[in-house]
Amino acid sequence: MNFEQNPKIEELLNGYIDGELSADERSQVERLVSENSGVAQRLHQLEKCKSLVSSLPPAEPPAAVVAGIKELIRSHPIVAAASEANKQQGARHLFIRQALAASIIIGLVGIMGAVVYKIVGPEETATPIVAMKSAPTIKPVATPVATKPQETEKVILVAAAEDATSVGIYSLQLQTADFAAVDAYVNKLLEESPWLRYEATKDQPGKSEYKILCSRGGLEAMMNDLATVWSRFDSTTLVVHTDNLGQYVTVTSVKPEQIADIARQNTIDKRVKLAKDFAVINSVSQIMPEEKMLALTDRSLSDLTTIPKPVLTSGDKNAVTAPKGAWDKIQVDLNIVVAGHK
Amino acid sequence: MAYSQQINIEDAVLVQKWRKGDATAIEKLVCKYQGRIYNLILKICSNPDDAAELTQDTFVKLLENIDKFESRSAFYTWAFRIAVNLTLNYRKRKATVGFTSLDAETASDNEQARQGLAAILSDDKSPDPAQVAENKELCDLIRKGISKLDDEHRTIIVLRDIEGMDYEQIAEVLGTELGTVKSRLSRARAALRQILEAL
Repeated sequence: MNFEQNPKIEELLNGYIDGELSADERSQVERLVSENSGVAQRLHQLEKCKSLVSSLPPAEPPAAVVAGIKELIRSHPIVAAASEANKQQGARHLFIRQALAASIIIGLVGIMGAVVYKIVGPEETATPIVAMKSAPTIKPVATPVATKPQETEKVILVAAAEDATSVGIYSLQLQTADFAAVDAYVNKLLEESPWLRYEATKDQPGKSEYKILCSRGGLEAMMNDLATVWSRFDSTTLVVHTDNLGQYVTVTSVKPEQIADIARQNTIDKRVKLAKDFAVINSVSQIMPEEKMLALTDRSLSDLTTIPKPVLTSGDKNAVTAPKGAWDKIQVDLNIVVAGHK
Repeated sequence: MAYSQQINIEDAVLVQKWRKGDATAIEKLVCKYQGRIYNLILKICSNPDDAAELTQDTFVKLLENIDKFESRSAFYTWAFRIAVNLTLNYRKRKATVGFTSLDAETASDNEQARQGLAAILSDDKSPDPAQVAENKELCDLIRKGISKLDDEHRTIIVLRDIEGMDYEQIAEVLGTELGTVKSRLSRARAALRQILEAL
């Protein structure tokens, strides 16, 4: 058989050895091969030709080439400018962290002082040292029923540090058509994040559950990384727990920057309020184009103008740095469920 | 699995960081692909010096055009497309001023290797890839055969048989139809077979 005059057969044979044929086409080739020895011989020739070329070992790029490429990339104006910007951003964040650390130390020293004073100070001091709204209601001396001194201490300490309900509890449900790749990414991201603790449960195919404990900074860093694959989720729903058992705020089509914004609020009331605002915004944006909504808010016709805009915008995302050290403070209890389509 | 689902998610993340000016993301992508891109170019142009220069040019081009990259395709397909275009254009320019690489021509012509190749081509048995890879003279002879193909045929053979791309990816790299890939690859293999037999 002259194969130059039968290009279609030649293409079929090539497709066969390359694994590019449909089941029907494969059967057609196999039938041809079994019936015609010329076709069988040609197929064998093509396989050998392919095998010879595929056997060639790859050449290692010379070290000078590798070094040259790196140098060229580093010295390129685009990269040089980006590196300079990153350095400046890094310096700014270092200063902010240092200032934050200093203020935390001062706060802790203050609290320690209050504790020490409470323990060793004169017993007749009825008024708490640390100013707080609820403090005047605690009057151990005047109350007929004896109040335990430890309870008074506890109330004062918690009130001085932060809201008692400062740990935000959230559930995040993420649905994707590309489950395997996205779940692998989420898994890797959590593995490589020493600032959070997590537990993964994968007892159902196409579904993974991650229970995460971390600080707000840790959550922000995680959301920053997740933002890069956010477009692969078909559905993103955040459930924010309120202080009333069984009551939740559900934010559909939630964005990573919104989650970080909610978590950044240091009281449960603020978190719930912001979650409700985002729930409204996201619902409205689903039925109203973004431009119209912006126009609406520009005309100050809605209370939406009072809602703080997400801080995690594209330019700043790289700047988010997780807290240094393996662990600083549990402020977030997050349950993430990544599920594929059934 | 559909081709669109094969997009390397890690590459996509690195590209996104690169776009935001993260220099480490650029370095990671360079480290990941410099070897493959260098090999691709070397196999097409057959000259190590040209390959080194064209590899550098490819990364500069990638750097300058990252905003034009559409994330619906894989990063490496896009990078290969740029590398192939740069190399083929360079070869065309060189051909018009009368310089073509002679490196492949001067590769060692070992009589034993010729006999080995002839035996493989005429024998009913398939060649053992490990044995072929270990035989430097035989490899040189096969490279010489590939270098004798015209640019179009050599490129498609390198993309399919060395880089292991599927037809859809090759069509994307070359900017051609799937049908063109099938027919061109078929002609390229037939031509290579003839060249190897004549060596």
